[in-house]
Amino acid sequence: MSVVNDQIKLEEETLIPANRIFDLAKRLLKNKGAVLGLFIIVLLFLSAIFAPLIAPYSYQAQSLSKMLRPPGQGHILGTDEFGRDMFSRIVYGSRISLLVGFVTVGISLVIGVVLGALAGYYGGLLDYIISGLTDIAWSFPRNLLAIAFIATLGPGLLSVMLAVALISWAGFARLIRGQFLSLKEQEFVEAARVLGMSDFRIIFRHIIPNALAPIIVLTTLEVPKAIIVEASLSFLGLGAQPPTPSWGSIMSSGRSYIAMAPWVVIFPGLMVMIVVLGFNLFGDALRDSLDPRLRD
Amino acid sequence: MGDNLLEVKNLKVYFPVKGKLFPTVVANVRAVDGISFKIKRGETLALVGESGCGKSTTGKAILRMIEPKEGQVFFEGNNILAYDRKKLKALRREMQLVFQDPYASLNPRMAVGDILNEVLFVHRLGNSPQRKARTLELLEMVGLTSRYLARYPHELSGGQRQRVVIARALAVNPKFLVCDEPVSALDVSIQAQIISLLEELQQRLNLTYLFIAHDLSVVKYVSNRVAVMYLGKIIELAEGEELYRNPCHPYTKALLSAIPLCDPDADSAKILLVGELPSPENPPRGCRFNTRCDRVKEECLVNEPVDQAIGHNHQVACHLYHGNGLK
Repeated sequence: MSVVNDQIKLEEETLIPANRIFDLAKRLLKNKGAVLGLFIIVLLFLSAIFAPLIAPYSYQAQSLSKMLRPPGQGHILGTDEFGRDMFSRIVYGSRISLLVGFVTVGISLVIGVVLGALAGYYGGLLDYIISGLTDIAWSFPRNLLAIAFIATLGPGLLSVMLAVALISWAGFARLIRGQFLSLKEQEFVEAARVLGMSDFRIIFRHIIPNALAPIIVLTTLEVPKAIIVEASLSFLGLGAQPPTPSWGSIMSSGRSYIAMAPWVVIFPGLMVMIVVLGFNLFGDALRDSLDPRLRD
Repeated sequence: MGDNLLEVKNLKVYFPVKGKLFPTVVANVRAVDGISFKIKRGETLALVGESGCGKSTTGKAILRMIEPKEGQVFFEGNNILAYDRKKLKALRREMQLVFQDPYASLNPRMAVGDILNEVLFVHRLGNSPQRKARTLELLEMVGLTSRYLARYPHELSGGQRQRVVIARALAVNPKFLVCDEPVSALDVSIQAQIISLLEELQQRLNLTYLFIAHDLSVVKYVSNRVAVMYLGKIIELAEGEELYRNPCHPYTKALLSAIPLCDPDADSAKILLVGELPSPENPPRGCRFNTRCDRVKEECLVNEPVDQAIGHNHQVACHLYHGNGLK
């Protein structure tokens, strides 16, 4: 036994500090992609929260004398067909994108976790039914299904959020079911069962924490997807209604002037791209640092 | 019952094989096919056999992690296979399992302290400060210190993890432990430490072990009695010393001859088993060992041998030992 104790003492010298969140933050900051992604996301949040302070003009103040001005001269990003300041509209547009992105992913995450966990943990007939539903939801093209939902719900931002949530839960449900199927066979889950723990505790304390990394990665991939779907639905006139400044609807109204005033289409499009990139970069880095087995 | 802590009677565990086209049962894998044994309070019974012989399944069925098809398991005189959910949870405090692979049997996202504390919490064993004290006590019991409370399993070595697994099993103060190949995933140097830890704990806490292993050399040091399993049946059961001195079943002889000897001059005529373990879905007629036995007789192909006592606490199921143990 003394050999063991010596060994234990030796290892204690090199013990790591146990502050987990601090640890995670430190690892994240080492990753350049994470820093860039985080920077973009923080900027987006700031512009959404402080939009009235940042925007130099109101997003709906029209000025027909300043129609379709190119960038420069008091309007950094130019003006649109009603002479509204593009920069101000884009800043306000970030509110719509964030709202849609997070609310829809929040709803679909809840649906997906509940259904996926039930299917994966209990299996049998329940799994058969839930997996069937998931496959049906999964088999439709996203935008088409969203359009069909909006046709019944009527256009508007709320409809868009519900529609996107109702089509994107299937991805979460599938992922979570798969995670449950493999994790419930793990010995530590068996151990929890032998130790007399309840299904509820096993699901929430032992399985879900171990499935967190892929869930977070999927979430960060779904937020930008939702932003894109919202933009495309608004582009089609099914989402945010004018004068609400959604990046999609700005592009939609600008497309008739694309030859003479390309900035009306380019800048909102660029914003969509940058935001999607930011979320993806951050999500990937978060996955790497959240997994204790991948540390250092 | 007397001093038997655990008695297993004619235990059978079958796994149904379902058809590819229709989910009907087309066959059964007879993982455990009618085994019986008793374990006395405070003793260690080793269950030995090659992979797939049903030894782990036996352990899991005793703990009711797998529902057996037939048979009875008596723990302190009560048939635990008849227990309902509530009684089963209470039973979890009486018998526990030490897993084979300490790398897979600890939740990678929980610190050692949380792993132990959770067990105490689930079974309502004490309030928060009492649980904390008990957690420390458990760590010390398995040779670890308070420094390990905040550590995660991936920060520990295999031996340290197995110590945590043992501490977790002991948290509920069980009387009976099923050790499912507790050292076979560890380095040889660590194996000895874990085995001596298990022995020390047995002495201190008056534990009873069912020690599952595939290797007779490990078993030699820990067990009072040894049961050798082959294809879902116990083919020989004897006291440890007796089995090593006087193995009777041809299969046991083959297993014992596979233990490496330190003496290079020793006569090491190894009995090599040929062929694979037959499928437990369709075991051979007669004696199950007849496809690989070097002393097979005509009778072995027809009749299944029954357990015969051939000495003091020594039983064997083999046609070579008819009557009073003479070949």
